[in-house]
Amino acid sequence: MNDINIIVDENIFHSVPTPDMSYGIWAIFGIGLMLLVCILLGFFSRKKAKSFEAFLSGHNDIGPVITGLALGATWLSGWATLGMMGVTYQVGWSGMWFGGMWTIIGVMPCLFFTGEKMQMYAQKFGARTVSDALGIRFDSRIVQSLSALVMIFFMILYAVGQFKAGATIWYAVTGLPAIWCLLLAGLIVFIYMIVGGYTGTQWSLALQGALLGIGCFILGIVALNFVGGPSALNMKLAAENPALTDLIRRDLPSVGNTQLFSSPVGILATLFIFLTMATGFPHNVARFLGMRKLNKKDYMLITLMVFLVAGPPIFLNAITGLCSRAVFGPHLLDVKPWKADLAAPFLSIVAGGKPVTTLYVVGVFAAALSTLSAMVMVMAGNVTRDIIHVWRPNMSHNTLLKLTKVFIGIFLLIPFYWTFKRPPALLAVFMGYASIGLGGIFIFCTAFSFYWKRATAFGAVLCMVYGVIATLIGSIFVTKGKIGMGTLEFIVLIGCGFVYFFGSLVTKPLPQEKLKKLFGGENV
Amino acid sequence: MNNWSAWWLIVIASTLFTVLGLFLRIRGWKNE
Repeated sequence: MNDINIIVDENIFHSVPTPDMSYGIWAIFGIGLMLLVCILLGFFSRKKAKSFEAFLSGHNDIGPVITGLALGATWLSGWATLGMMGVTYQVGWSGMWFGGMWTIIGVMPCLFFTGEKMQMYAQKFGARTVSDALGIRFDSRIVQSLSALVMIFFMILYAVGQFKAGATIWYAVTGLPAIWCLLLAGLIVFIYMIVGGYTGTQWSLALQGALLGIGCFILGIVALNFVGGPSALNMKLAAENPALTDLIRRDLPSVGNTQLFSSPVGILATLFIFLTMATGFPHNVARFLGMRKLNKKDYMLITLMVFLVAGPPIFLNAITGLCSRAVFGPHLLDVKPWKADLAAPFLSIVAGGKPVTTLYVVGVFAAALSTLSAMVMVMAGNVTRDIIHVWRPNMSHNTLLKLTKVFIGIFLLIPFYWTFKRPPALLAVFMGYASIGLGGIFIFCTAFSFYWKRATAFGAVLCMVYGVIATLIGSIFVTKGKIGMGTLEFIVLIGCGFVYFFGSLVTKPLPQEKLKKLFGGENV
Repeated sequence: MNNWSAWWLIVIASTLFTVLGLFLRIRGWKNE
């Protein structure tokens, strides 16, 4: 009889699709078309970057719609378009907290609190990178160079995730061996960066923002429709395991990374992770460096654009992952090494067929490419502008420009090699560590310092040193199951805040006239 | 709480957060 039974009837699940090249061809066509449009856009819209400065951040003439879409694209990465579905697929509803539900709460403060300030630092003081702005704010070369190093360190981790996202997609649509999938993903990234996309033109980023938003939104609607709507989704999940419908999964360990799903401390931490990381991500904040001065209407437009890309599509991602669990049951976890991260691509194949899958695949690549290219640009600029140029000011700008291009290659190869040697298990968790570190440090060093006059270079340096050490050591403890990942977030965030304020208060602030220049003529 | 209610609550709260933030941000904005 059909009584409620703890032994799951395997017939309720859809069989896991066997990837074949028919989807791969569509994907190649879709991605090829996107790359072509990106390249054309770059070609027609980009004024030739004549100087080293213009190469790094453009000409301060980009409008609100493009800046808004571009911010959406750099904020949302392979984590948002693939990893988030992997989380809710793996643990059920309790994964939604870490699976992107705080996206808007995270990204809006970045826009509201740092946008205008960064634009002002770029226009008034000629800041070309985020570290550059910090160097100006603290009048300190040490802060500038150290912040550049810290950003590079965490962004390499984050970049690994983008390569894995690309490779996972290739597996889903071709079924090729893991190594080939990674090589294909790497190849596309390299093509994109070499043929002009590498300047991370706001126009290409904006197109990618729009694509990823549309792709995820449509997949979410199709997925929910496929499982039969909201209540059917819950019923199917409960049929496999009632714990999948819990908002807090108390059956999972409250230490290690599962703390983010199993305890109130962990769930509260997810809010803070998102809240701090959007502002803490230099590749997000860097979007405002090339922006023109906004008026009231512009401001409303930019907010709307960010909301459209980073809001509804990402809220639906959590649901897509759940739908995938309802459809496939736990079977995707057996597909190594991709596992839960296959949740969305396989569901798009089963529920949406070729058109939806192609759209979604293009969306994931748009997200991964935009974040990766923006990050690689930030990292390369960090080395040349914030480390080499700061300490060797006499080096010619031509040499610096060439060096920046060399470092673009280097910063693509490092994460590629890493993904090749040791691909991370669950994308979202791996990238979570980078977010905890970057967010905890730069929410203070960037956002707070733009408003708090008393902040000093010593406070910022202490904050960066503490943040890196605490995240590194803490992540080892989380992996060993000694503490929870949510607890680590609080250790990093509260600790960074404490040393930042303490370090600032025990040292002398910048001279009055300097502060007046930085804070006096506020354009708000 | 029902999981769908929680989901809707966050969606609505995020929208209000955006609108309120925007309102506060552009209040008294000097158009130059």
